Amino acid sequence: MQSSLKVKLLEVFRLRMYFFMSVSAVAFFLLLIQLVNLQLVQGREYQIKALRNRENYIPIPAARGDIYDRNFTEGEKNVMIVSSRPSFNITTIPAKIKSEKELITVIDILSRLLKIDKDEVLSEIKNLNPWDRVVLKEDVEFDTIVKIAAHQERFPNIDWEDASVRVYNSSEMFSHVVGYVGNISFDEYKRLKPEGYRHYQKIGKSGIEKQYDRLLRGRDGYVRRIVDVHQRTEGEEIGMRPQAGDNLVLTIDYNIQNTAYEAMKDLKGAAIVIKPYTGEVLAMVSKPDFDPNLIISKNNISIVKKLQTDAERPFLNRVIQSRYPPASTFKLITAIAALETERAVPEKSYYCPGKFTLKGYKDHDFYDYDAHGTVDMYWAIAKSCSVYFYQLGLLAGPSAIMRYAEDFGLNRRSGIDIPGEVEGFIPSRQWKYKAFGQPWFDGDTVNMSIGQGFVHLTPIGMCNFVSAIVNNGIVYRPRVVREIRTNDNSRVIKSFRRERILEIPLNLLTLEAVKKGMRLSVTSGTSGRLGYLKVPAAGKTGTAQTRSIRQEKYSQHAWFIGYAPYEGPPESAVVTVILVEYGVAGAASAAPIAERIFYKLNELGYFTSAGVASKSL
Amino acid sequence: MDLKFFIDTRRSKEPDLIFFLAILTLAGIGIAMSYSASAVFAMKEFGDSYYFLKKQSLWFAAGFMLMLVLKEIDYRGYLKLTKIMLVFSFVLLALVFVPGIGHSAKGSARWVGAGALSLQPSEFVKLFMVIYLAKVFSSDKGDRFVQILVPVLIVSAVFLMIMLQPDFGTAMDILAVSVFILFVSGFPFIYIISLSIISIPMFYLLIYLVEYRRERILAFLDPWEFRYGIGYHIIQSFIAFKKGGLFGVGLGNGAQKLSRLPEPHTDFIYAVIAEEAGLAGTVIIAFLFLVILWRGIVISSGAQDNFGRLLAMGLSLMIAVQAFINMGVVAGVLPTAGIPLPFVSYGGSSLLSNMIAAGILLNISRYRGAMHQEVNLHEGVLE
Repeated sequence: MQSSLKVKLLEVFRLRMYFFMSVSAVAFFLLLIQLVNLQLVQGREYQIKALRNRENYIPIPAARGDIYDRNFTEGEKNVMIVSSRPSFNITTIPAKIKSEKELITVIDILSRLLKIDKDEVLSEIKNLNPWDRVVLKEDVEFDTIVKIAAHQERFPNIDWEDASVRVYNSSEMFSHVVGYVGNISFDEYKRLKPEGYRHYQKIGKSGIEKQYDRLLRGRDGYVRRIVDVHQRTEGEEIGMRPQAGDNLVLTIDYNIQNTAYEAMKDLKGAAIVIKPYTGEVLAMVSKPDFDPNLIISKNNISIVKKLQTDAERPFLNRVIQSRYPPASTFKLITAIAALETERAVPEKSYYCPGKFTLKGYKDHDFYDYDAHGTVDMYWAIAKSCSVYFYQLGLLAGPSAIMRYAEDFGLNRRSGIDIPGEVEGFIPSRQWKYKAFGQPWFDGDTVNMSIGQGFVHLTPIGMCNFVSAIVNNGIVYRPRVVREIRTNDNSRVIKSFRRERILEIPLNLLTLEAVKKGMRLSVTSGTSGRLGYLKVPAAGKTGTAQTRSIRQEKYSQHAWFIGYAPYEGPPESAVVTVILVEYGVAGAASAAPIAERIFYKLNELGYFTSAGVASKSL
Repeated sequence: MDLKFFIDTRRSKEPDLIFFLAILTLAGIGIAMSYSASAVFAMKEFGDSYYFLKKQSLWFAAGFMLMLVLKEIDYRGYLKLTKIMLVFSFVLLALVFVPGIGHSAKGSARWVGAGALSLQPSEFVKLFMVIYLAKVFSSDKGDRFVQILVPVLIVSAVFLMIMLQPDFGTAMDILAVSVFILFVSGFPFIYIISLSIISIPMFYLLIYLVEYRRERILAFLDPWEFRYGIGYHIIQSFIAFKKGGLFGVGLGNGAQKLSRLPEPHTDFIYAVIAEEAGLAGTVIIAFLFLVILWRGIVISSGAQDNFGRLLAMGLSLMIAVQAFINMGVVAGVLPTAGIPLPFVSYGGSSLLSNMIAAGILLNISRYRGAMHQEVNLHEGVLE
């Protein structure tokens, strides 16, 4: 009995064991299949799926830094040249929209509501990665957002997000100094991606906005939104708070800028006002100009294109990006070259019959605009006597003139903190031979000595030249930004110091002679318009013949270069360079503008010792 | 498969060497992997990357000594201890809820004692239940109905107490092992089937009335749908498997253990192995557990008496079932249940109880012979 039960139990045990072994074999086999499946087969899909659907990053735009004029005082209400205001953008991520048909329908309704070009939007979407955020319309009115929010079922996957719109408070007045922002271009994005730039961001396109973009832009934050397969939000957290950009305080005085701008209102040309003692630019105007407010939105791309192709070239900053024949203003360089090489003394007089004949294989006559009689260097500068300088130029020789022009840095960039500066052009014998296959003729020297012919200079270059005269040969780098402050203005991050870029060894007597001539030009010469100013000014006019093919009223450019006060501490001096394209003449077109600027400077106290103390660094 | 494969033909009193080596290999891998999985976490929490390695090595040393001792102690001695074991089990399970003695972590009260000496009673209760059930079902005295009713009540009580902690994984583990022992012991199918039918509503209540368990089931069915909530861990585990590929990214190089996988050195160590040692590693681990099950069946078949047979089967099942649940969870074939991988996962109680089980199994393996008699019986030769 005992053993039979034992046998029976064993029998059952064995059967159960077989069954059990099969079950566990199947179980482990299933596990094995799953392991292979997970590790070798399905894994790749999981990984891609995991990356795609896990999280959405929604940017929180950083506030772009504000820009103030030089009169910024901490804790007071200051003139804001550029600021930002909050706004909304309408955006979408095309990949979230179920079908192309739905996308077209949604864009169609939106295009009517937002007044955007449907085809343009659709073609833009086609060119982008479907997972990229597309901004459909910038700066959308709140009412419109409300409309979309209220009927969200009609606008599936259309989002609105915070954005900030740049406000250029003075519209055109600062257009070339501060520049403007625009959507980052493909090339810029490719280049700047490593620095954290994103394709949906704005970037400074010109002026200070471009030069100081890295400081102004701050750093966008983001919200991390965890979503499920259907892009439904499951959770949201702030991944990184945005970091506001730094503020800038300009060296530019709003009042001077305004005066210069008003004076240039209906003209074409350039005006720059600078403090030679520090290199601070007080005003910089280029005409024609543009209103940055109209072109910053991506929806206004057509306006930008129109401005870019405009024959008047409004985007050109004529102060630093245009070369002009310097005309009579160049006579000062001829004078300096002759004096420094000791080929002339200022007191020696020449007779000016109104015409100069260059002797040679074939005689050639060079004319003056007037017969000046017997003139020494002072009167030649004051009356802008060309015949005197024809002879002085020949005395000094072309090499000396070219060398001194180069010493003044006229064929180099000054390094002003506005992008796009070009250098002036000073010819050389080699250049002439290369370009024309001809040697340098005396006629070329005669032409050059009065600033005609090959030499072409920029207003900023001329400005530095005058600064060198005022500063006894020392030139400081021109700049438009005075200090960088934190976004709440509580702390100065960086205050710029003056930076010497040129140190030209010049005889003080030479400078005295030139200055005296420039003063005489104001008191009884071509710059006579400035003679009535309370502050003693000095200057030189210039009228350049141009070979413009276009039919303009006047085919000449008007220059005025000058400074004030004539004899005063260098700290108080202010240099002004005016260029009017197709003006009447330097004396008639450019000098009156300088007069208004100097008048305003005087009114604001720039020339008083108190004003100097408070308005210098 | 020839039954001979499951018969130890040696006559000596030597313990089962293959089983012994499989245990040691697993424990060795466990120490290495739980170090790799915990080093960063240990550095962060305790300022010592070897923190868990040191503790685990100590536990292993203790467990190993215990195994060697138990190998020498006749398993039949446990027959007299089952009543004490049962009482001890319930006391331990109750202590978990006593403030001051029991303590909880991550929302469940699973431990007693404090600091370095805190133990997880359910691990030992599991062991006691196997010994108890082996005794009860191997006895051929008394009424069959009573013989099954008492254990069912006791297992249910234990099951509920562990569920209260709550530790769904261990509770299910004990239940599964109990059912398997019942099944192997030769009870008629009718009992087993009726028990299953009776327990269905209970499971329904236990799972579907508790929201997070329901979610676990749902997350198991479609982890991607819940991958930021309850399915997050399993997705991270899948990613670890994928990253591992065929041969893994190399020991210590895994990235998933760094805060993505929950409990990388305990419940999810299999995922760390998957990432660092690849398919090769995971298959070797699974294979070693199959070896343990296989040797368990061999030992069971060779045991001299019914108690030894059921005890050997029960103990090897205890190890194998737990291993299968753990690997199944990590690989996504079973719903999430927080139980460790025997011998491999970090954790003193688990290692100790499994080492005890191994020691007992090794002891049983020294008393071979019954199966031969049984084979002889079939050939018509009486003992």
